[in-house]
Amino acid sequence: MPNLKDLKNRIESVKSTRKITKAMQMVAAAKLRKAQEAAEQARPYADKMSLVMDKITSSDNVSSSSPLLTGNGNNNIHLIIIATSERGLCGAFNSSIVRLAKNHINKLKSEGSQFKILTIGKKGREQLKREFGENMIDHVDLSEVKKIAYENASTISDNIISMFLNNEFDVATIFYNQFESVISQVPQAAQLIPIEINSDKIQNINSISNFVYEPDEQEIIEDLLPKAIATKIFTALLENGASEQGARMSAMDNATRNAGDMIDKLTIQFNRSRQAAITNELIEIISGAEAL
Amino acid sequence: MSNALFNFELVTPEKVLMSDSVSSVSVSGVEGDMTVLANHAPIATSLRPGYIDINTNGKTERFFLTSGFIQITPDEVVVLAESASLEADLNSEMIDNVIEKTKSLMENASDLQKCVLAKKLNDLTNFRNQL
Repeated sequence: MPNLKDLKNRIESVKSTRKITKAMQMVAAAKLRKAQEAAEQARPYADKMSLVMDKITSSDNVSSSSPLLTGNGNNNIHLIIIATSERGLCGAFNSSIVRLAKNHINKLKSEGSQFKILTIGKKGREQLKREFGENMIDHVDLSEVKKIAYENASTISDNIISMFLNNEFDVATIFYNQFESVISQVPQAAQLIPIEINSDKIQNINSISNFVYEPDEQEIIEDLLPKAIATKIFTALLENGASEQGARMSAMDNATRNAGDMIDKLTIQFNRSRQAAITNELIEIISGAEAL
Repeated sequence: MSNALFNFELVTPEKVLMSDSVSSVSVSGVEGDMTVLANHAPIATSLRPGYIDINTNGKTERFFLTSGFIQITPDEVVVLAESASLEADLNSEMIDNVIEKTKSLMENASDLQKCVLAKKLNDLTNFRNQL
């Protein structure tokens, strides 16, 4: 049985851990609100952008389409973009993305396709480095970025697009966590290149109005496609940001509760040992007195 | 006629900058400048770098857009701008940054995209010189 001094020390250390996790939980809660706001404010642009894209691509006048839209005809080399967080202590947030990406990679492997990996955020990189180190081609470091701006996303997308045009890969998919609620973040994959067009919406859009396009549709598409891809990455990063804070908040909430339970248990143990020590002493005194 | 209002939205990737009823909007489209009043015919065009003037009952607000897209329907006008800043916040350094970025993009672009980017670069440089 540990002595009283040890128990006391342990209780103190668990108490200070609880203080830290509690503080982290509150910080995460504040950041979560901001991240959620950012994600919400970015939604109108993303919605409108995809609407415009759907509309233009469904127009009859688009003849030979851009490779960003239809792909380059191959399906051999896949680029896997894995967006994770820069910091840990956020529960299963990073590992759930990595797991989904690994499943995808294994599927590609069994199909005989090649793959390359681009990581955003160092946590995912750390988890994948050992297994797929030789497939990693690039890493985007966002640790200095406090608030994710569209600039960050457009830099990444410009990079990806120029790699695509150099035929370094055929299909690009981004993996990230979709923010559902504080307790639930769903890892998701979204295809970036060739870009996915929502074809079921097109029917009712066409009936609304016939637009005059200036210049022609083809040039507008060339102008808009990189923006649409950047927007998708931006949305993914923002969703990821909100999910990270949500995941951290619930992980830290759990940790705080566990620390509380542990303190209760240790306190009971401490009290019992103290009681036992007192009882022992009493027995010694009494038996000493009896002997006289 | 000039008093007729229509819904106008200026949206950037980060947030909705403006969503209001306005009386006219002037933009610089790639094929020329234009002013939109209410009940305009449906048209969609890319924008070149330049100012957008939004007129609400005689009061004008002016933003600088680095690039964007405008979609006009009779009762609603939506501008999707990649970045927008108030005229007061504008400085030549900012535009230089955009120019640098456009140049680096051009290195790897496909032919059609190069054409689009070259136009943009030209517009930006012109704009920079006017400032």
